Amino acid sequence: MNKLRGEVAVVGIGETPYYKRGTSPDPDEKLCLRAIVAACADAGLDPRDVDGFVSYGADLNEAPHLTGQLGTRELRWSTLLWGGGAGPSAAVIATAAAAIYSGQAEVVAVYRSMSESVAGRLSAAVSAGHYLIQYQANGLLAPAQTVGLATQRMIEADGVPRECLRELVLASYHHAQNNPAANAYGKPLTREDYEKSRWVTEPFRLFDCSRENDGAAAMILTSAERARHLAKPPAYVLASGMGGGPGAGALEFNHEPFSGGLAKEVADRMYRNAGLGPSDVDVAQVFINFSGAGVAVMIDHGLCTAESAAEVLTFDNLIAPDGGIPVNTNGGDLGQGFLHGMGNALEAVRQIRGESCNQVPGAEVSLLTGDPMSYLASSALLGAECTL
Amino acid sequence: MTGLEEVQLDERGLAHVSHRADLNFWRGLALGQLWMTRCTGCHEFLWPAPWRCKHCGSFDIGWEPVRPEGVVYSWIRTHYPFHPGYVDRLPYVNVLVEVPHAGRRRLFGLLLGTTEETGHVRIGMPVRGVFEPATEATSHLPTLRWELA
Repeated sequence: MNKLRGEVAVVGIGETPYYKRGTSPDPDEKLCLRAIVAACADAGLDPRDVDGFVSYGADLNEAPHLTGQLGTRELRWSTLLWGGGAGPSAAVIATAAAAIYSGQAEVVAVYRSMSESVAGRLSAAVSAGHYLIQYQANGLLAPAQTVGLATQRMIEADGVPRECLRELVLASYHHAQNNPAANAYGKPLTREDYEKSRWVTEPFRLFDCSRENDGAAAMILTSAERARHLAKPPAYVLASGMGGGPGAGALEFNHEPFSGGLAKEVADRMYRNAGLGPSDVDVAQVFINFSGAGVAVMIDHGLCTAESAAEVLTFDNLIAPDGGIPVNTNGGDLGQGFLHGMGNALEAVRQIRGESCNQVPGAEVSLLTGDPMSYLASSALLGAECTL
Repeated sequence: MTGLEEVQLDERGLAHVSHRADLNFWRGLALGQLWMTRCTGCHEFLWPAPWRCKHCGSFDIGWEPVRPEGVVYSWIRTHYPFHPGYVDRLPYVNVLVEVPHAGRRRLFGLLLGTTEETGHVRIGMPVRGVFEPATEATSHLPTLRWELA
């Protein structure tokens, strides 16, 4: 087990509404400040006490642009993580925990903010570093296409039934029906709707695809010792990590394993550091820019195998409260809305607190994943007090 | 010497690749040839074209002509107009091709053919390369397309 286990906790969560892309009344910097301030209020902390900042991918909101408006007493930690649009979306937890445990910072805000109306589509900024000329010249400009290639291989070569993608989508939309803040609230999805929906890029239909929102989400982390005196029950960081195996990296479709995800090494290391395994996970928030990524990341995290996917990834088994492995219980990236994975992190915390709109009874171990098909994978396991 | 250094690319295309380690790949395509990188030290094929060999550490990366043949490693069929230059081809199929004559490294490209022909694409199918000249749609660079063999 790792020295970090249980030493740091998430103590506050905050987010803005998820506006339809391009319709936010506020620019991304203002949204970012609102989310951080809301997370501080949730924790019972003064925003001036935040001394560390972590974001990822192509986020535009640099800490030194925020401190003057938060009244930061002392900026001690300012980090942007590489690794694609949402590869590091769970690694913000690892980074904040490392900073806090090592004494570099005491109260760290992790966040994602995007607003197309002002800053342009953030996916364009992400894409600029991803969809290089070898792809562009050949008609590829979108994540649906790159994720589609890996997913098609997972289906056709590994034998994961394509119905597994559909079941994960249906579970996401089902959970969103209990979440008034979700984009898909009041818009239930049936199997027939899904199967009739148009192709975007085969193997993905319309409902396999997330839609970027304007909005911001933030969390506050601090030491376990301080966490016990704050407003909400702490969600302890049991383990969190980032990276990839020997074949991973930005290699123009020559990374290994190509099929499915790149998160297995990160997941295995995380479980070892937590002293836990896949069977200990009570509830999971998995990254889904496209449904294939969600299936792949569940396989990488040992929640099923390519062989058992058909049995495990069924609607009934994926929904709260009674499914064997409830996933994306606020609707996730598909149903709630898409802030490059950050919304999932907040829901992972709610499950530990017992605050989810689709609460898994007695949830003690809550899994969060980043994008498994980006350049770098990341994961986190959060736990209730009783897991320490 | 490969002679590739003499090849003139369209300046608009060159702007995309002049700084990249795969510059000679594009120059080769302009000649209707597939050239890929191979380490001069340990002779491993390397792709994408790197500055340094991960196997032996050499910075001496050579270029070698490769038969443009391969096997479909994965594929997608795009229906949505993500790329303005490819709208008139919708729906179009892209293939990821494993190239056995280049250490099974993989190249990404467009699969040519009618919708009915490309409708048969499956992983494992043999394909052969077809060279096409630069157009605005290809960012002014020559391309290696593929067709089912």
